[in-house]
Amino acid sequence: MLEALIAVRAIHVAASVAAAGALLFRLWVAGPALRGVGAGLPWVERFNRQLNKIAWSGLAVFFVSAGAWLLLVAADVSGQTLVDGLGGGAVSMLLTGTRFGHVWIARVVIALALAIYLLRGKPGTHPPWLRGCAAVLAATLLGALALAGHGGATPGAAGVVHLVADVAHAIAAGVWVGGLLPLALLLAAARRAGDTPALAAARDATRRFSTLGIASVATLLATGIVNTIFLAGSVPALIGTTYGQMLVLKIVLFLAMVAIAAVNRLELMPQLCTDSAAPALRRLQRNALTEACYGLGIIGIVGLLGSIPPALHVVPWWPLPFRFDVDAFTAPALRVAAVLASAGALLAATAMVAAVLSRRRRRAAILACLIALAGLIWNLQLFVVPAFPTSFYRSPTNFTLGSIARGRDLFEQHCAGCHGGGGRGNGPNALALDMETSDLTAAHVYAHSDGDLFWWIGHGMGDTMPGFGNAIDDQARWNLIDFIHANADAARLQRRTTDGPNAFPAPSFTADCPDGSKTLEDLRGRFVRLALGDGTPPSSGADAITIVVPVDAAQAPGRDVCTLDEPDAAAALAIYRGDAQALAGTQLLIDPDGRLRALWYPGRKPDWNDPAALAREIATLRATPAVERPTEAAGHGHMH
Amino acid sequence: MRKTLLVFVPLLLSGAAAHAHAFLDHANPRVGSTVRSAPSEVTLWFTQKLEPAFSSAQVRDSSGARVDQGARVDGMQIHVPVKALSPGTYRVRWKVLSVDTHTTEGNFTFRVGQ
Repeated sequence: MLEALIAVRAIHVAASVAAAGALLFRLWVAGPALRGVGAGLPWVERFNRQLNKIAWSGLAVFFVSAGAWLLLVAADVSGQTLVDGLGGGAVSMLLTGTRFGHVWIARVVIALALAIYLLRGKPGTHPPWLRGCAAVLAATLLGALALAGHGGATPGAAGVVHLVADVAHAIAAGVWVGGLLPLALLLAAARRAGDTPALAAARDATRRFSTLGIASVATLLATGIVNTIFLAGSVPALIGTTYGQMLVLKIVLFLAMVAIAAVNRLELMPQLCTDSAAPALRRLQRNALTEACYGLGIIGIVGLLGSIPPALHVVPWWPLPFRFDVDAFTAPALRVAAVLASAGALLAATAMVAAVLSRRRRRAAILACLIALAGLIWNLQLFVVPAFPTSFYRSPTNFTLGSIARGRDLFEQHCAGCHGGGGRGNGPNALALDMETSDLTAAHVYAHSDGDLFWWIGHGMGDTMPGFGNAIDDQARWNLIDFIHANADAARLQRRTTDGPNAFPAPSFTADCPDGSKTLEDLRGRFVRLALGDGTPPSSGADAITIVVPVDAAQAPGRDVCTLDEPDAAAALAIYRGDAQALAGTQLLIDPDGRLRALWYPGRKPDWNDPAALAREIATLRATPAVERPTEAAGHGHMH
Repeated sequence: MRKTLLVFVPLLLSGAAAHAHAFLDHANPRVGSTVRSAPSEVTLWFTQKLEPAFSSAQVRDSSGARVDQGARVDGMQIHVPVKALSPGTYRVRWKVLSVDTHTTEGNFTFRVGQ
């Protein structure tokens, strides 16, 4: 089914481009260029007939492929087979009730209008306003394709930007790619005629199409970048997903087309004014056909890209054993080395280029190459880190209390033997190993992405840590990673460290408040205090909203205060306290941006149960800059 | 790196294949969570605008009986009002059509009570 959808989509786009492109070529290039030539010339007539044939066959394939596309989509969305889809219910619902259907109807109507336009009289006999209408309709036929693709699906205000860019992208592509075959035909016909007016017409047409091509390429470049950001958004998405890889191939083909167009414009077009006009014309014609073939390849890829989920929504599977990482610039210890290495590489590259350009001083050139090589290797050490296929996987758990609690149970069961109950690398088995077991509360843990940890838990590390991919499922691995992060955050909160990260992601939760249920996102904009324990909740100052977390389930707190009702809440928050026995009375402060900033338990000074002390604590937190821990892939090269 | 635009896309519990059409952004009650008090409505948030004509969701209890009272599609959300739920495990099945004609479907469970 997917293959059929891809094929039909590609054919339909190609037909739209052929028909609209031929029409626009006639209106903007061939019409003006051939006006100077005498009317009724046989080669002009022949060319016009060929152009008409392209437009008509394009429209014919357009209607057939549009029907096939409609039926395939109806079958796809209703879950029925193609035969059942013909039954009509799904098709009419699709046509009347969805945006795809509305756009389909509009485009078929436009194509019918264009067919009528083609039927009525020869080119050149239409008044200018009618020709303008035809141009607008042809452009709309192309641009409306964007509404049936990913370009129209981005939500919000950004979606408008995306849609506008995609519409412009479709029009520019159709004008350029759709005009290549007509251009080749025009050049061939002019060449065969061979006389001066024909060559002048060919020159004029080439010039006009070249201008159109430049505008088109500029538009495609700008809108292509916008679309890539919306649909891929990152390097892992481009390299690690089918969508991304196909997009890269499309860009390569586009650049090949631009290269040929550059040769046409810069080298061949000037030759048209000289004596070697005829061979230049032949080369131009062939180049246009080659470009058209690449364009066809691009349209095939477009059919695929429109039918599969955009790279942004797909988890990337990283294919290389390493990745680039510029984090060395941010780590203070490595910053100097990183700057020096980059400067050295730049210097070596410049020296190499200069040595090559000077054409002399062979020994200097060799020396420059060696320096460049050394600089490159030095750079690699700092900016290339090991990576795994899952390095860019994203956790699906949303860092909920339930996930953290489950992670803690799993950790006790599978990991505490070596890593210790608190994850500090001091488990009973660690003593028996001759290699240090990772202290999972060290800053080092923050330097790896969730995906890296996912890989190591599943596949083990080196000779000492076994893989647990067979013992636990994927969801369990993500739960463990949530626990490891919460545990490492807890260590810092307990120590009240002043250097390094001091703001940590708060677990997501849903609390029941007198005015409805509130999630962590709903509570943004104010300080939130989580108070564990039973009995009377501490008084809530105006500065913070207090949420009570019952420890002993049997006691339900009063109804006029927010409660965090989840069964795993106390178990998960106990990790931050570090001592499950003395959980009652523990409090945590979350800042207005949803980050855990401070921990308190009875015995710590100042006493948060005193509203004035709490207000001072909040004021201090407001004044202290929040240093977040890295939440994405980060880290410099180091050995395990 | 477009960190700010990356939307959380929870992978279906069935596994993380590279071709997963994972369009459910989040739900209330949360995927796989346990809630003490029964919700009156199950809400699902998606990452793209939905076509109401072809999007639906159902909630069934552990014996397979339906406990929802229809579903209402609203932009990028589906609201599913449910009857009074007794403690137990419930499965939410959803099948949606995004405005770019891609159907995606999935299911998840949540528990009411201990």
